[in-house]
Amino acid sequence: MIKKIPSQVCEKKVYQNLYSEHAQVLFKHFYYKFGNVEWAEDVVQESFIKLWKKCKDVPLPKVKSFLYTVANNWLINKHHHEKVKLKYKNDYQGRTEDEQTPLYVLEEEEFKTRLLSAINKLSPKQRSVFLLHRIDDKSYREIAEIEQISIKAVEKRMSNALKSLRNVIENI
Amino acid sequence: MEENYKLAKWLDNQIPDREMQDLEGFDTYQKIKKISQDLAAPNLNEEKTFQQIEFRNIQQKSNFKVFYKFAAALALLVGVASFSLFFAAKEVVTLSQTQKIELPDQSKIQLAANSQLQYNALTWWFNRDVSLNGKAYFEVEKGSTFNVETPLGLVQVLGTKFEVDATENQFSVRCFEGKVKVITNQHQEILEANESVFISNKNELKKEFIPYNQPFWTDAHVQLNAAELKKVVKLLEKHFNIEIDISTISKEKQFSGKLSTQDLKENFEIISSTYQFKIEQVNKNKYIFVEDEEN
Repeated sequence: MIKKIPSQVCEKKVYQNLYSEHAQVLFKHFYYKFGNVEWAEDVVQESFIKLWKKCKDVPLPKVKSFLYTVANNWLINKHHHEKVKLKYKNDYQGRTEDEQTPLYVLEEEEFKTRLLSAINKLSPKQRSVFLLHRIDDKSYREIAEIEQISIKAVEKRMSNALKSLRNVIENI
Repeated sequence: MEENYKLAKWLDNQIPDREMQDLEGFDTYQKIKKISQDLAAPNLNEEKTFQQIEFRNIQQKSNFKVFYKFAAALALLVGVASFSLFFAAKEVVTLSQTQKIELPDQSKIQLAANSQLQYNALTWWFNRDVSLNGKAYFEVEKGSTFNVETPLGLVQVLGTKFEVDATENQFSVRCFEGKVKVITNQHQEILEANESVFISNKNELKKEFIPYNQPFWTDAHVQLNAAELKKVVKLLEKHFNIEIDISTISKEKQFSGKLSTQDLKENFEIISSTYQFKIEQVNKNKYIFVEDEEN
């Protein structure tokens, strides 16, 4: 009888490290898509519980795609989505004098509001790509892994996202 | 087609601004790029979510135990007796008496009446898990994490003395030595020595100080440390099913010493001699404490 070597995923420490590595991005990805914190938390719980159950069958390099596949299937039936609630970090440091004039600040505040509503008008797929890059500093290669598409497809989505953001912002 | 990817590459700083300047709406794109850097989103509460995941993973494991028992029965049926050794699941059920159980690693459990306890003797060395429905007092030897699974929550310890009282409707844990961690779907609480926690099935949580060093029902005597008189009286009332009137006692008194869990008369003698109280019986189940005038 051939003895199967158990995957390392079943080791509690490895499992915990995998959680620290992937849970936050998994959460963000689905939050950007659906704008619902509870669903995004559920997705994290369900996919990691499934991973624990199947820990013997999932080799370490396949963990990431396993998690995203489970998560995607879990939410496949959720068609409606809510507004994504985003904030701006109040970072006024390092501004030039021009950028501190009341007029400039006022214009910027208005632009910020427009950008938020434009982001909420993006398709869920475009929004997720755009925000993972802008908020979470993910590279196109990482986003491609998360969305399970090619890098070229990520770039295409991103370009289209930018075009539609500009379109909405200029026409408000 | 190239045009499609150019914007994305520029946003990712792979293409410099000067190559894009002629593009229609470049001004807006530049603002989007700049302003979106300041965006922030809600974060996952990683610790809380992980605790919930761990809790559900453990619950799943206990479902497996049921499966194992079924498998063991089947194996016996087929007659593979040796195989069943793998599934050394033990179950203890008490009716009207308490029972002492010693576990393979010398940890001790005292199971109260009307309670049910399960553990696996063979896998004990890898996995210190027991499941409990009812009341039990634990003295756990130091070692790996010791888990008590109950219908409403999980109690996690390293090495300590504690009591668990758990049914489908309520869940209470008293810690007498060391530290224990109590986890339910909604709460997580760390108890230190002389702390107790009570959780109702509506998931309300109440934390209290306890002045005695082990549960009343486990031994003939119990040690009290600096317990308020009110608390002592309450314990006696509850344990012996009596009523005690202390409305005439004016002074704040604290009690330290041993009380009997069997003999009410002995307790009254101890209390009356320590504090110069007179104790009078009003009727069958009612007593009154009076301060002795002569002192």
